[in-house]
Amino acid sequence: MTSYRPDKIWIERGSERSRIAENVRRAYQDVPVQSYDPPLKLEHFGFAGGKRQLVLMRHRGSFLHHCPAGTPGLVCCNYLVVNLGANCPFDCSYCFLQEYLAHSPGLRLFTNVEEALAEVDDVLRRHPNRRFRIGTGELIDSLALDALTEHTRSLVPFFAERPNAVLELKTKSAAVEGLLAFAPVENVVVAWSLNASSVIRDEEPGTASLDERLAAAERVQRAGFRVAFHFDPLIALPQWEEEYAAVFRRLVESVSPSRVAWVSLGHLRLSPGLKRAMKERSRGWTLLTGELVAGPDGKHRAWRGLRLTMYRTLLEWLRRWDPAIPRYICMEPAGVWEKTFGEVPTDQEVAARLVGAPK
Amino acid sequence: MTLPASLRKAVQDYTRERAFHSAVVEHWLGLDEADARALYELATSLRLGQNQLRDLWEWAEEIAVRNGTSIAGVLNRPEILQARSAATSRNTRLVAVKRVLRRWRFPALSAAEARAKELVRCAGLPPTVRVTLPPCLEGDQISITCSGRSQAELVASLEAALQWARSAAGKEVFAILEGVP
Repeated sequence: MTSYRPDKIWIERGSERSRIAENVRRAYQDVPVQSYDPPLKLEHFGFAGGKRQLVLMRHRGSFLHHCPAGTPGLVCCNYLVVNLGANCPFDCSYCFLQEYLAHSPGLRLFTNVEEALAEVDDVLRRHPNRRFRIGTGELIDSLALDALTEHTRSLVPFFAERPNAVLELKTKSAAVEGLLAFAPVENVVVAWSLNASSVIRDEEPGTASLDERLAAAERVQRAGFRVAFHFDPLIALPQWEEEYAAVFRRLVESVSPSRVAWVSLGHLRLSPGLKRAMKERSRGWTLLTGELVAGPDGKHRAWRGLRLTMYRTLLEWLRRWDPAIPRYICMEPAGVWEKTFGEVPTDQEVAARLVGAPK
Repeated sequence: MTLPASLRKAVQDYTRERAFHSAVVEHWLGLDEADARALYELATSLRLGQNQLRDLWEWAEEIAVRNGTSIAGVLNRPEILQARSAATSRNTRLVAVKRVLRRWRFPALSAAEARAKELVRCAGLPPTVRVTLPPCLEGDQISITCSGRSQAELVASLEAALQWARSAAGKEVFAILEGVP
């Protein structure tokens, strides 16, 4: 894994004394720091250059959102995301942020984390009988910058006291030191995005290798935490069966299935805007030249027959490993669920299988 | 790399006449000469508008990247040259060029579609029975339309459709949609 190092640090006035700001200044003593009053204009750095502009700022507006994968017509897992930052130190070729954050570059870390927790707390208190699954890894890797953000220091004790929610920390890193300082908490799950080694090498620069991710998962599981895995995005590589079988073998060697909270599968999906952004940046040509066709939601995916074949194959491996591991497919219509699992659960049923049913 | 003045002017004239967006023109003029010329020849021979050209260009570029060749290497292949210069209407030639490019761009999907269509065609269904597959095989629903100008013709259509639906060919088409080899 490559360490993140910014070219410049921007600190919004009023955030200078935040824990994140202190950590950042300590970690990057030779990087120029500039205070600013909003708005901060960083468009001229572009998407990749913007990632090296580290912005520490208060987030205005809501932190908690429904996962945008919950698109009409697709079966959804009722996932909520709490955004504690925006943009990511990694630069995966297929990342939707290239489109989503194209006009607001800069790696932003929010300094008012306590307000985010208050917002989550309010929702959890108002619905004590519901079970929530909440992740922090939508707009930024959950753990890659944990040494700076110390998010685990805020989140793990917070969720330990709130049993009606499960926190998912989703990462492509091996940065688990901060987390391992805590005693295991049943409702904190650490999830790794897994992919074929060639995809990690060619399309996920700077991230931890497959072996590093699985070694971290092994440590986290041995420490007593539950882990989860996302085979997402699945890529229809010419040798996909061999490549993903190799990943699966390594997974089985590394962790025990009994403490795996869930496994998801999701095929590569590219909106027209994301395809355009990738081409403009000359990124991900292997992915762009795959046999992707537009679905009803306008996103391009591998054609359905191929997706079904890959899902069935991986789910069969998973079933042989341990049929009890909860599993789901991401952003697929009811017809694909039916042909893959032989049933079409409701969104609530999918969620209940992952975190338990409401009381 | 700059294009020869004559080609540059030809592209500019063509795109001005058809009100192409400046970004598209700029991209075109930024290509190397062989690619820019191949696109120009394709565009002029089929009188392509901006969106039509962009679709074919995108496919040609993606095929080129995957096959380790150039846009010109794709567009100058005999199948394309033949399709675009056939002695037929412009629309028919455009459809033919698209069909060839699509087959190269989506080889596995095209093969699956071709197999499914073959399974329908070989059944020798009467013209009053029409089998429709989901576009790009992105779906699990097959529609059959039966028509008839008399009760007897309608019954014959329905019986033929039912026979096909029950046949091994009908079963195989559904298997193709499900990705079962």
